[in-house]
Amino acid sequence: MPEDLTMPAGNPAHGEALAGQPATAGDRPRGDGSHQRTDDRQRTDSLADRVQAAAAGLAPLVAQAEAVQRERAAIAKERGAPRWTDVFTTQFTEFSNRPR
Amino acid sequence: MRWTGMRGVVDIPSYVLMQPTTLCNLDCAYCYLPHRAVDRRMSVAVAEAVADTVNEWARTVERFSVVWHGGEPLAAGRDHLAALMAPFRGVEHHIQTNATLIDDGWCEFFLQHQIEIGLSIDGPAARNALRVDRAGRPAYDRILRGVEALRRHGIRFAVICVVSDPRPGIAADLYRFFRELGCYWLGINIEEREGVNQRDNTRAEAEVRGFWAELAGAWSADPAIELREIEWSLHYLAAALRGEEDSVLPRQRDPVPTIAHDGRVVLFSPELAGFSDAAGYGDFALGNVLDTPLAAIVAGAAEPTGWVAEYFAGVERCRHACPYFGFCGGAHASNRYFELGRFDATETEHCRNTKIRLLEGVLDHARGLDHARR
Repeated sequence: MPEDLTMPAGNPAHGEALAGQPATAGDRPRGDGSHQRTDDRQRTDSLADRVQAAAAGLAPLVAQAEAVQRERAAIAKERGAPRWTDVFTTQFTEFSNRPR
Repeated sequence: MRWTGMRGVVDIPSYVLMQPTTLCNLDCAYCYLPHRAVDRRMSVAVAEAVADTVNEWARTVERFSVVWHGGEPLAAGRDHLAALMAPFRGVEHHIQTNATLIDDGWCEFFLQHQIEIGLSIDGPAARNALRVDRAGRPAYDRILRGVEALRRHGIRFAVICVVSDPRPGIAADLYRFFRELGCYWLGINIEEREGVNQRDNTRAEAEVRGFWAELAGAWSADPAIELREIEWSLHYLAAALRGEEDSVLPRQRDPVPTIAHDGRVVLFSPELAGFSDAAGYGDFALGNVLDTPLAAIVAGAAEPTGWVAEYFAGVERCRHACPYFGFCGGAHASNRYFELGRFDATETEHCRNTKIRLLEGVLDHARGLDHARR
């Protein structure tokens, strides 16, 4: 084993639980849950309009992405990986490797 | 737009996450995991209970994955991990690791068990400075030794990279680093405020958009790596150009069952696992596989109560209020709770940094291409 895995107690400086104590998700600010507007959202044009306005620049990027994905799919088929499932859609982004 | 995706919960998830130990040998500054300083190991009885359900699911669907996740799964040791994996049949195994413990012995183990490998690396040494051990020593050299071992054994690997200061000027360098490192897949996570990480994740819109726009350009110039955020954005934008943006999301939500070391099960957001005293929400667990079959715990999400019902109400608020819903499917449960203190809140800093500004950054890049051509 390359290093000692016996660890001391947690690091409170990092908000970490001390050994043997419960981890507390504790006192969170409980707002009213209303939708918060930010600069990101202060736009008069709609997302759909912005997409169409960028169509000329998007087209080659989309074609490029679809070409490399077709290529990967062919390689994946040879590997026996049957389909592409992107973890992006499962909403957990701390897992990297469910490949084709 | 009336968004129709992400309604209800699938009967069979695409993968489960398993926590073989709470221990991590690193102490990264942004880590969300409680108890990472102590070695609480999953028992074989817990793994057997999970396998009772998972093996049946794996017989039913084309592909099912068991993901061994943190703590640092390799800190459980090869013998214990092998004992935990033994009850599973017909599944793909995956490990998400910090790479520092990978040596020839581990590589042989990965090959023997046909394990897919995901590493956590934040870029070259200067950008990897938040990944340190408990003595504060940088983990970078140990990570690279692990990568070297994988290369020696011809084992492919994916990478998750956390970026804490997204801004123009670093994305192209990051992409180049990972191109040279040799990963085949890359996911970029902007640092999140969740779990025990209370660091502020508010970032300036222009900086984050500029980061994503630059990353789109770097990928387009050399699309050798499967780059999660950029390719998912282009997948959505292609559908939007065809007027089919409502077709992109899965029709139902994946519950992402996460089984903590002691058998407790959290659904939807693995980052909620391990807490015992969340104000008003208890431990977030929806059951324990040692006394309830995993299939029954997952099925219970169809009739949500408690925080899950509150989360579903939040998803519906996102559906009705947010023009980006068809791209993201609603703010993640953990980000709602840890940023805003409740599950029915909607837009989070994570939404802004990782969904809204991502999509807008890719659009910025596309518009720039068009202007350059004219």
